[in-house]
Order: sequence, then structure tokens, then C-alpha cells
Amino acid sequence: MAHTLHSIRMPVESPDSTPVPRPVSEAVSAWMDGETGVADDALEAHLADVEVSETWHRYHVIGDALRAAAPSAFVCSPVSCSTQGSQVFASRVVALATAGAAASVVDTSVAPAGRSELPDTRLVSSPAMAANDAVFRWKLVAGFASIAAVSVIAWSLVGEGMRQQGDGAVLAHAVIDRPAVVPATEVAPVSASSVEPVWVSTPQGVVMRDPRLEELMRTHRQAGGGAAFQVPAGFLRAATHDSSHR
Amino acid sequence: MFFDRFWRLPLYSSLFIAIVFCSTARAESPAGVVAEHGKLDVHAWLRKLNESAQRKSYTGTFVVSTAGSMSAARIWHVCDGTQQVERVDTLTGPARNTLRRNEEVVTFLPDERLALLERRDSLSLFPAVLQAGNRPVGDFYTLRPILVNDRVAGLAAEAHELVPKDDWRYGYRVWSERKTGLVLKLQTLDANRQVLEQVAFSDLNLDAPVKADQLLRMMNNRSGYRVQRLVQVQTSPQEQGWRVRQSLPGFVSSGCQVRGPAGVADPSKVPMQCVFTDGLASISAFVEPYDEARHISPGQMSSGATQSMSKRVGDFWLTLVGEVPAKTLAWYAHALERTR
Repeated sequence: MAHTLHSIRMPVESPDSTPVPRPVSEAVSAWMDGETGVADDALEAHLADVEVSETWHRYHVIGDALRAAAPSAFVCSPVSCSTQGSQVFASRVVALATAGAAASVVDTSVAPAGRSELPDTRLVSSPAMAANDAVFRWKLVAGFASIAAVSVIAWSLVGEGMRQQGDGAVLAHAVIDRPAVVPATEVAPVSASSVEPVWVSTPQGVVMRDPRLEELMRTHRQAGGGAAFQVPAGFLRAATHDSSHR
Repeated sequence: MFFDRFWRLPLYSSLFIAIVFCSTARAESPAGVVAEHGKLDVHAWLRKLNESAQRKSYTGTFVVSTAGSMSAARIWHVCDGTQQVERVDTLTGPARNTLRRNEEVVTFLPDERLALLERRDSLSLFPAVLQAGNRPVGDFYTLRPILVNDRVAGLAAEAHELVPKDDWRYGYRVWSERKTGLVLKLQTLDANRQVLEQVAFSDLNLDAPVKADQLLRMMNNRSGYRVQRLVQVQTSPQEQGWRVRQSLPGFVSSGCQVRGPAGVADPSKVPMQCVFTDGLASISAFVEPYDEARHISPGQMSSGATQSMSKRVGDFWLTLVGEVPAKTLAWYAHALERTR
């Protein structure tokens, strides 16, 4: 597989060192960390080997993905920080890579500094290609989740609107040619008030919330006319309801 | 010899009679309902409930709930034989503390540092209003027991239903405490027996050691509050030039009043309130001079058990409010007319 690899500075292997046979993964890892003396131009020859090439590619993808997603303050969880956890994570990244999701265009802006400085690479995924795009059911799940989220938000807004106007004195009018909404001033507890009615937009349409009417309702409950349940029910109903109408 | 053979007969007969007697005997309800020919007396029952509410001392938390909202309040009620003292603190919405000693009421509004003083004579009208007209309230409601052993706010309760005999009024379900008759829960029902509003204690302490002195001290301590006295000027529909062309059966007028700060309590400045009641439900008709700027258009409105209706009658604006079906308000809106 042909990939554009970011170039890394490999230390020049000392002339008299001979490579010690060891597992391919370890060798590739050592190359990538600059711990061997393999020269750059020798790299091509080694990469002709399929196993070496795949390992080389895999490790670069993992490294790039980790560097791209790494937060500034890494929070360690028992799973993520364990060796097993990191291996699981790495295998997931590899799976992403081999699934073709990391059709990565790696930024080749390389800092021409010492080997200790990592080149500036960013894993830029091609647009509109999610990792699980190929799996249709996840598209369905995402779609349903979006619909559910929008519905919940809309429902809560509707419920809030109804709660606000359901408890007050609201008159529904078909005439909507009133001027702009006038903010209601604080209603004095006595009858003489000059508060303008307020037009409120609700899910039921434009309705009028009348503070004067609310005041009359409060007066009605307080007076009660001596009805049987006035004490304590009516008196309490008046004293309790008053607060919700202010 | 006869007796030897049939000695069991009188024994079983008397046992049978005892069983029949016990099963048919009606135990008198703790609420003290006077049973007449097996029918419950609405008037007596309501009086008993009302007396309990006034004479018993208790503290508790009270919740009013409708389809769209719920609000709660804390109540302390003391009756020491000579006076009734009560305190109600709202637990929902803006703070409001209402203290009452018989008919004197002080309402503290902490957010505005305002204390309103007034006298509410309507609190003492019951039970006279039950018989104000020429027909007793029992002519318009039937009282039925529905539950003998229920539990409300931790107390044993019995439930009754007041079924209206016509559709000019709502029905009620009432839970009363078994020993004292204190109303623990009250539901207002529409024509389909759906609950429009419920008023209920969520907790109640009948042995609370509340002293009237404590409440009175609080009532008289108005430091830091602006005090405003509201006056009520009593009048009648006739005095104000109004009459009811035809009243509904059971509903009678219990007078009119104008309420406001001293100097403002005048029918030309504040709405005049005329009340009609059948003993259980009440309707307030607010009459004020018509103002084109404020009185926009007639309308109907519903909030829990309370219905409202507004309309113009000549040079006046009429607003009707009551815990009755909308058709009852419509009747009064049509029936109220000017005499001059």
C-alpha cells in the first residue's frame, strides 16, 4: 500500500553496528523512535517487505491519531491507562485505519528541527466520511437520536409556554392588530390599576394576558361570598393562588 | 317436650334478629350527620364541617392543584374559644404572609415591604348564607358517601360526594377527618365528574402546640413595612342601579362591596363587586365604568375551577368570575341589567 509518510529524521546508524534480528513490530517501533541506525535511504528497501510496510503504516496511523486527538490534560482512567487498555484502543484505531476511514492526508509540514521535535501533523479526515458510515444502522440510530433530541427540546418549550400562560388569566382573541407588546408594570394589590394587557405569543396563538383580570379573580377568591368551603378551603385557595398570579 | 325438641329455635331466631338489626342499623357518622329516612342532610353536614374548620387548632401544608399548575402554602390555625387566629404563608411563587384574627386580615408582601390591612366580613357570613334564599342548599345538591375508610395527610378520613342536581353548578368530593370532620381534601368536579381543581392537605398536625399570642405578635409587628389600609364599602345592586332580571334557582345575592384604599373605594374609581352564591359556589360580578382603552373586547376564560367572562353592558364593563360552569356566568351576564 502506498502512503505518503511524513519524513522523520533517522539517526545515522553507526557504521559498525549490525542489526540484531528481532520481531518486525519491535524493529519498526525502534526505527520510528530513532533508536536504530537505519538510514533514510535504506528505509525504502525495508518497506518493500509487506510485513514491515504494514507495521510501519499501522504505527504511523496510531501515532497520528493519538497526537491529533490528545487533550492538553489527559485524564487517566483505569482502562485507558492500563497496558491492556492502550492496546485495545490501539487496535480500534488500527481497525479504523484498515477500514479506510483514515484516508488521511497527512500534513507534511515538517519542522526542520532536531529529532526530538515531532513534526506537525494533523489527521485530516476526508469530509463527510464518518468511521461508521458504512454501517447503515448507525445512520438510523443517529437520525432517530437527532429527531428525539429535537422533539424533547420542542416539547419542553411548548410545555413551558403552556405552563406560563395556563395559570394566568388569558383571553384568546382573533384580533392581532394590536401594537407591539407592552411590558406589564407591577400590579398594585389594590383595585385601581392602569396596567396594560400584554399580548403573549403561545402555542395556541397570540393571546392576551390580563393582569387586571387576574386581580379581579384574586378579589373574588378573597371575598368568596361566605360559601361553605370558604373556611378554610376558600381562604387558603385565595391565599395560595394569589402568589401564582402575581 | 315441645321445648326439648325445639329449644334451638328461639336461640337461632334471636341470633338471626340480632344479625339483621346490626347490619341494618346505621352507625352515625363521626361528622355528626343527621340521617333522615336514610338520606344525608346536606345542610347539617356542611355546618358541621364548617364548625370543625373554625374550632379546631391545627398546622399543616396545603396544596392547590389544577390541570396546569400547583401551588402550596403553610397554615397555622388556632381557636382558643374566644377568637380564631390564622396564618398562611405561601410556599410557591412570590412570598405572601396572610394573618387573620376573626375578620381582621393583615397581608404582608415581603418583596414589596407592604402590609395591607382590611376587614373581610364575608368570612362570617356562613352558615347563614345556606338558608338565605327560600330553598335550602340540599335542594340543589345530593350528598352521597363514597368512602368510609380512606387516608389523607396521614389521618383517617371519610369521603362524600356532593352531586349537583342541575348543570348550573359543579360537584364536589370532600374528604373529612373521621373524628373532627375537618376538611382534608376537596375536589371540584365538572359535569363529566372530571377533577377541575383539588385543594388538599399534604400534611396536617391536629395536636400542634401553636399559641394565638405568637401569631398575634407577628400580625401586629409591621416594622419595616409600608402599611396600607383597605376599606370595604358595603352596598347593594339596587343602590347602584342594577337588578337581576331573573336569577338562577338556588343562587342569591349576598350584597355588593367596593374595596380599595381609603378615598379610592368608590364605584366610580374601582370595580364594584356583587356576589351571588348558592351556599357552596359563588359568583362575583365586577362592574366598572366602560373604558375603551382598557376594555378591549369581550371574552371567556378558564383557570382550574374558576371561569370568567367579560362583556359590555351600556356604559359599563361587566366581568363575571366564579367556580361555576360557563353557562351560569353567561346567564348572569345576560340577566344583569341597569334600572336607571
